[in-house]
Amino acid sequence: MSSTPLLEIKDLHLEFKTFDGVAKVLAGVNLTMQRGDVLALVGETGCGKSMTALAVPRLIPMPPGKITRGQVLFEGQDLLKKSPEEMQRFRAKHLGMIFQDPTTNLNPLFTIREQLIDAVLYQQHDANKVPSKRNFSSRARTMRKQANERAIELMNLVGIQDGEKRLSDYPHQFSGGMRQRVLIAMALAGEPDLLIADEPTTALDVTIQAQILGLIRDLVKKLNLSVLLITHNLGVVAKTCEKVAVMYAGRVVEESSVKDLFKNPKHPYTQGLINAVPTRHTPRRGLEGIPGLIPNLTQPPEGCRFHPRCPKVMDTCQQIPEARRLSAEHKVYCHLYEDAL
Amino acid sequence: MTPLLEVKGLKKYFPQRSGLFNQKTSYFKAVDDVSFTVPKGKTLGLVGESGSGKTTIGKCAIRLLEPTEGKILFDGEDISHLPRKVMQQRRSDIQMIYQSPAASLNSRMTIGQIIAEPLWIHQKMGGYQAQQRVLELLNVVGLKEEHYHRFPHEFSGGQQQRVGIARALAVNPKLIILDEPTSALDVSVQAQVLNLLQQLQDDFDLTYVFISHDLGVVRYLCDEVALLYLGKIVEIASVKTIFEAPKHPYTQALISAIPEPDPEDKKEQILLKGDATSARPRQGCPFAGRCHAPKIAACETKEPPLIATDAGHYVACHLHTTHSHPSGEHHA
Repeated sequence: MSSTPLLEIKDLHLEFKTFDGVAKVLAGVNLTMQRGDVLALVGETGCGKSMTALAVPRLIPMPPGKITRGQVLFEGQDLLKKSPEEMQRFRAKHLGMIFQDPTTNLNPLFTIREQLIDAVLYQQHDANKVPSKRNFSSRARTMRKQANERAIELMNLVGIQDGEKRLSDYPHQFSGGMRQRVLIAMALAGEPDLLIADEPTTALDVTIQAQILGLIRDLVKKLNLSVLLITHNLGVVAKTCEKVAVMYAGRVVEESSVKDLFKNPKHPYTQGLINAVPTRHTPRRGLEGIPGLIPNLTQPPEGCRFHPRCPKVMDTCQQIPEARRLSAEHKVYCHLYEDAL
Repeated sequence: MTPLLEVKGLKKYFPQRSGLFNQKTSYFKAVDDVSFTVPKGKTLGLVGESGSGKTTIGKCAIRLLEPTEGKILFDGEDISHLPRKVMQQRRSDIQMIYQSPAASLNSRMTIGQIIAEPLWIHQKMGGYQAQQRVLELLNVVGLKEEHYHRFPHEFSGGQQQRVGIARALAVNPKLIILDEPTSALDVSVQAQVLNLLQQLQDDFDLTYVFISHDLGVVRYLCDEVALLYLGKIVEIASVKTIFEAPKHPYTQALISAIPEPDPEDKKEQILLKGDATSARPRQGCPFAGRCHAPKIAACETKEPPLIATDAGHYVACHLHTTHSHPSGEHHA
């Protein structure tokens, strides 16, 4: 590929100091996203999918966290080398983020207008140039007025009816799905290049989940967004994304187009994961779980971290598997396969 | 054959208090006139979104909540008005498994004590006998004997749920009410727990009431499904009928909204507007505000009754009752 990818994570290692020792939460994550990609990051609890996502805007608390190796490249520039001030400016301009629980991410004491206007101001201007709330100079008032207009525009963009009127409401007057829409509006305030969505629909009912996923798909088309969607739900992946990376115990084990992954899963973990979801084709009593438990990350297994649970384990699994390219879009980190390209 | 559990006209209203003397000003109808039966050895799925009353029904069936109105027949006996003491004895036949395994296990008790507690209470069993029974139960649910002296925090979510299952099984119940037993678990662990539940149903001839919002899991585990919307059953039928020929517009929308893990799946998705509570009209069908089907006059004036359209298939929708079956039999 000739152009620089939008986001490239190279050999990222992250450790957390805990009472039980050092947990190696990420152990060499590699991930590439092109502009316009909708990439899903899938995995189970504790596989490091949220940590990978948080490493991009550098929101991991350090200490106890520590990035020991690796690079996070955004259009070629290494985010890990930026100063905190540069990083803040960068986040405001290029990144938007939404989280799992829409309730805890809104302040119950302020109206949506105040919170949304703040989001707009801090994403469009440098933090030190945003006027304080008690500043009534004409410049400050114009800025707030423009931000208010942008807020109304954003409310309409995320499909909240009566957006202008509802700006005066407090978060408790919104339902869960509506709150998530407000948070999407906040994330989009600065016209970001990349939207990171960490389990955006996990706390929502299925009918509301369908609405929010539909909204994200629409926004991708309308705004030319790139989305990194973190989820544990394979159904959401199949419905929303084009590309997918499967993670297990701190490493990406398979990267592929969504179509290919579901039709032709290669890594034994991916196969197990797909078989564990009951679908309409699953016969009664035909569900297969993955035996065993996820490893303790303070003492992770040597080599391929899946090998103690793997049905096809071999001697070579004691070594860390390299990426095998099966096709232009399909990469798998498993000793069972050979490079096809 | 009498069904193991029969619920007739169950209502649970929660009073809303406000004003000067904290008077009861109105009632929140969490469950409103719900009837269903569960035959022995079968699994009934109670499905609905948050706020549909599925958990309240489960709690009323075991009388952890007192029903406002209605009858609960267990094995032919009306248990809805039994005195507390008698009811407590009956509970050895009806057990419950909860959603959050971590919150439902006492963190200061060992696994052995947790599983033995129902034995102490219901069967006055103690000492060596109880210990042997607990070890046996640990084995049944796929845990090891060395787990006996450990505490809940030492286990993963899936293992904790196994402890919850072992505790429910301790007193040899006939009916187990499962309240979202796998929603807190990862898919690979969920598959293990679902398989365990099926295995136990075969081995011990158990009857399940399975409360869930996950239609994929319900399709896999249940024999019959009741769909709830704002405290009422809107459709009840066998699992096959519900998923292949749903009649109620809400059921159709809900099934279309399940994201199937299959990118080739091109089924038409019905997007519902709004959410259940805010779109509820003052009168008429509670679903009318979000309904995508063509409306008829009755939708806005009259609440549709739950009426049989085919054998074992009950629907509460004017579109299916007024036209095709004017003299349909009322589900009792």
